[in-house]
Amino acid sequence: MRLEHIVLHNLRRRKGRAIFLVIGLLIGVATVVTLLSLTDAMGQRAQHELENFGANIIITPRSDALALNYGGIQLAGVNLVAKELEQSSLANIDDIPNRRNVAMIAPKVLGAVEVDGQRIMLMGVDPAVEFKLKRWWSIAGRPVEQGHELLVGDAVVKRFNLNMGDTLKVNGQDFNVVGLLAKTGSQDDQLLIAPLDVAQASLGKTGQVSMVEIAALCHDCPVDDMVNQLQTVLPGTDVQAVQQVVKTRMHALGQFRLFAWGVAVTVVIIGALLVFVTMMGAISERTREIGIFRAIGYRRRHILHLVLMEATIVSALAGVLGYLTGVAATLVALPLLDGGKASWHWNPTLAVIAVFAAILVGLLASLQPAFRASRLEPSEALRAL
Amino acid sequence: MSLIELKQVNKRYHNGADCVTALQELNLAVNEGTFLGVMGPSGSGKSTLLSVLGCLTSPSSGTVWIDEIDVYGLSQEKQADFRREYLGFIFQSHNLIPYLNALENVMLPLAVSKLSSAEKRERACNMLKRVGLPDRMLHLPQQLSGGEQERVAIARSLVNNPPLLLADEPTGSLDSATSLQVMNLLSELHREGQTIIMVTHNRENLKWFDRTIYLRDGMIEKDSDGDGRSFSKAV
Repeated sequence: MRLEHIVLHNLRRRKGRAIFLVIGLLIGVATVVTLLSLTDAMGQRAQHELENFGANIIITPRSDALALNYGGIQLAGVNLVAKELEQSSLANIDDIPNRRNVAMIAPKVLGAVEVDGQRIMLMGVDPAVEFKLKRWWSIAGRPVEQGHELLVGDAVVKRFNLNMGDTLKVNGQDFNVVGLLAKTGSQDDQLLIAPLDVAQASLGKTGQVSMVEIAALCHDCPVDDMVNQLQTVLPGTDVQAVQQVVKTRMHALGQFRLFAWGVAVTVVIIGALLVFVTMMGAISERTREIGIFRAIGYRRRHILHLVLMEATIVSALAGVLGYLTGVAATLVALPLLDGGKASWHWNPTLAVIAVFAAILVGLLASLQPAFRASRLEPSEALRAL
Repeated sequence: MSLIELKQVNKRYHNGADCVTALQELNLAVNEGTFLGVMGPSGSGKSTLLSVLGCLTSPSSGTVWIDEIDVYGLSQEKQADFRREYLGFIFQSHNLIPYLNALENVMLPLAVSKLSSAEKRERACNMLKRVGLPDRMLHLPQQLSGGEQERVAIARSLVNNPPLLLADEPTGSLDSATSLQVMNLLSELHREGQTIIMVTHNRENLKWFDRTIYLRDGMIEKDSDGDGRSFSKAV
């Protein structure tokens, strides 16, 4: 016979109250677990999308001139001669400390070519990388792979009335049209796209690239640090982070996370109040019993021990059941919220935190009732005798 | 040396502007092995006296010595230890814990002791056998008769071998046959040397006491031995 036996017997006898307490805390824990799991899953999904969204760092040759276009509007009569980067220098990217954050490197060469007496922009790309980076491109036919193949932007298709399989003479060389790029609403509509080596040869820029797009894994990755590192290994270039995209997504996620925490804290406070009120009621109900304990020689700390141990057992049970309920709710809610794209991953840290947080909340909410019980004077408690 | 000595004990209860005097300048000495009966009308201070002796209610003034210990000079926690080691309580309404069986109720004072589980169990079993309930150990209080519950309460009060047993109307809610059983048991304990102080209204219990004090308005009106001889009077 120890104090634990008294606690367990009491819980068994007052099942209704114990179940009520467990359910109260369980709902709180389950809500917190659900919201945090959803945030986590959607965050991971957003990160994945971000990685697939495209480049978030752009490297261009350094130019002292300021840009003379805005929103696709070129200042008439002004034509800057583009500088180029040595393609071999891109190997230096492997030397940066955050190399593991670099998911894709997409070099491009750009230049004007003559087609039927008209000047059009030709872009040479690395097919192995470019089409993974531009996942939003919709192509009728197929992407270019090698040799004299062309993927044609929507505006060019319309200008020359092109079809799949047509041959187009570019700078005097024949190219096969293997793909038609659906309208993007961007400058891509104005392009002819060819494999990098072929475009370099056609433009007379062998071994040179006009710009490099880099996709960095940006969930908590130090983009600004990476920009500085790239700037160091690629002297003579301008390295710019496309921060707007990154920051917008991160801001949206941050807002959702904040909301989730706000709801979670509110629910936990309600749970704590429920425990507090129930435990206060229980202490009033057990005044006589506590008086007996005190009369037969239980110290105040023994009474504290009894009340807090009861709270610990109930809270731990609520923590475990709440976590499991939260996981179940997450599995049900995820397909509804994110179209089934996000997936749940077991997070042992969250499981441990859920149980310990439940115990902590239960104990904190029970502290005052426990102290009140321990401070009961035996004579006061036994006055009803 | 007396086991119990109360000197100039006063106890006043305040309720707003009202002040009720429950004990007035009370002096009392009780020797070891005495079976002391405390009688008196309602409101005479019997239960207050028992509470003061039981280290449950501190007196407004005066001193209470039990076994040469100034019990109200002890800290609250030491008073709890004192109650556990020196005192056994028997309440009128038994006050058993309803969700514990008879054996567990008897073991209750031992739950916070350092004895092994086996020792606690053995002591509680022996005590239940001692009060004649060897076959009711695993019964819950509500499965026991009033007399049996009282005997469990007596077993619980004795399981720590306390020098002093305090009983508040232990037969108050029992029929006469069961009361007789309980008084026989207490008398047997007394014969074995147990000091017992018992509050009662029932004059039939007088025959069991070897000393009786009569309280009125918080003072000892009459103090007599078992034969009814008055050997002190304090008013």
